[in-house]
Amino acid sequence: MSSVTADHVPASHGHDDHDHKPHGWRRWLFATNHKDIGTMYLIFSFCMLLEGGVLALLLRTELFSPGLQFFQPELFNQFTTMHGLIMIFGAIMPAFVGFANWMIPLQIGASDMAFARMNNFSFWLLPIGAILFTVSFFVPGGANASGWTMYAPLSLQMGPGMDFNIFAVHILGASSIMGAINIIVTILNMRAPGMTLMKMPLFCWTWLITAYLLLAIMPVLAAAVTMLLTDRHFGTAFFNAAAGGDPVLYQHVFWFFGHPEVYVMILPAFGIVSAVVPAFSRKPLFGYASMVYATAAIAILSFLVWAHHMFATGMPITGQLYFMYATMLISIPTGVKVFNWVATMWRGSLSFETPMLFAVGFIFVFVIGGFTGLILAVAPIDIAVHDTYYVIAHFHYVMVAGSLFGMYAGAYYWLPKWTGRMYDEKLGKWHFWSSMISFNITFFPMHFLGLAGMPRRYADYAAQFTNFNEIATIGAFWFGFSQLIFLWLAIKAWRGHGEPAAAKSWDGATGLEWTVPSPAPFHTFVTPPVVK
Amino acid sequence: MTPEQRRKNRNTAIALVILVILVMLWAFWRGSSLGG
Repeated sequence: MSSVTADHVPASHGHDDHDHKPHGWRRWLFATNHKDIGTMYLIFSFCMLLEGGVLALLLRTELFSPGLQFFQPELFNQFTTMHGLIMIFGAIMPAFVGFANWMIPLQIGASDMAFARMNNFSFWLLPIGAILFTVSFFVPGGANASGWTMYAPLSLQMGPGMDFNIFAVHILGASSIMGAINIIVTILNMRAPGMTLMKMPLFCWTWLITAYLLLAIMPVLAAAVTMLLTDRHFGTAFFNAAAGGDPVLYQHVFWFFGHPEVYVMILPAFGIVSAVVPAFSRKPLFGYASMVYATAAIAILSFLVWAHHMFATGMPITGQLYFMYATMLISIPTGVKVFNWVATMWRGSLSFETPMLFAVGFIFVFVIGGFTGLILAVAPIDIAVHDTYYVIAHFHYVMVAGSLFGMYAGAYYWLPKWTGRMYDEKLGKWHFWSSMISFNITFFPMHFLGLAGMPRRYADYAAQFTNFNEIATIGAFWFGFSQLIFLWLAIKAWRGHGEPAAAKSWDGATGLEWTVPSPAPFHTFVTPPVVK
Repeated sequence: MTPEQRRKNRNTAIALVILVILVMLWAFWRGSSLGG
């Protein structure tokens, strides 16, 4: 069961109306309120999205035509690396933690996160990591240019920018671990009376599972980059072949983190879509329990498939077969989810406001990304298209159109709850269609480029690839500027423009968050609601 | 938050921190046993 009702409406409770919030800069620097911290996470991640986006546009500018136009290959590779790192650790992950901070206490009827001060610390580590990433461009040798995967031995040969990179990953990893602990403890211990685990909204479930994933993988990444650090400066030889180490071992350790990390960036989006689709279908979510089990199955399987990123390293045939079939297995629980979303819409009373457009758009493009993932799981095909633009196309269909569209669905869905204003629906629809069309113009041609053999991470390419690259670059600029529509629209809602939002802003919405006023008061559920 | 609730939260967090430390030690152990 996914929908719950409270036996009293906390919005009318006197305690919730008290406004004890601090004012000025202290409110933000010393913030312990989950809504303030959630807001800071969301603003931070959007800034990082813009920084990572600018780097992407610099890449696309260089790739508009063959030959070297603007950047030397070394700088181009720094851009590719930092684009990936900033988008993953600066934009997508913090954005979902922002959603978690805002929505999990509201959805489970808790007054705040379990560890409010640790929550503050988790957030304020992020700008430090972001600064380290950014200033690494200006140290001798420039930023890390070994790719976001930081593969040894290349990463062992980088300049001091790599050390900045390692330090930043440590800090952002620590932030993620603290955030994950906070989320797990909040969900396990602070649910309102009557809110059993199987009554929780699916967003909370997906985040609970994601938080466990984070606890299991971030220490592995920390260990991997620490071993890189000691190889670089303290004479160890974990990954240095010249001293008896094994560079392939780095790939094993990294991808043991890296593949579940993909699901860290997509499972919360599944949760958001599982909230939005029922609301705009005006039906309960189809197969709630199977959604929970499918999420858990995806998380477990994600630990068993890491070496499908390494088919090209040379692997015994039995190893290839195992990782190929294990990877294909993930499509089963993922298919359950897609089936359930479609079944939820089946014979529903559908309407297509912006959150629903982004949710349906998410399903459409995520399925494309999923299918290309299945194709890449086939070892012989993967070896042929390894490190080509086919891979770039695949993971941008999952990460941009998957994670980002999922986040936009959630942002539009909950914006009235956050700001107390209905956003400009017309602008929202423009944002969706402009993003959807330009996204496909950018990334769909990359499938063809990859199949034709264009390698990734090069500043130059053969003349035969020119046309598709020109199209991709035009699409990328269109997509980039489309995101400014959202910025404008969100600022408008934040500044109080637009119609006042009702407590229950969408007629099909269910859950405790819609029982408190819009905007949600500074303190909510001081007296826990009782869930029937 | 009641003292009982705080204690419960703290104990859960300590268990999770122990899990994190064990995972990190495991990763180092795998690195050192397979690598250099």
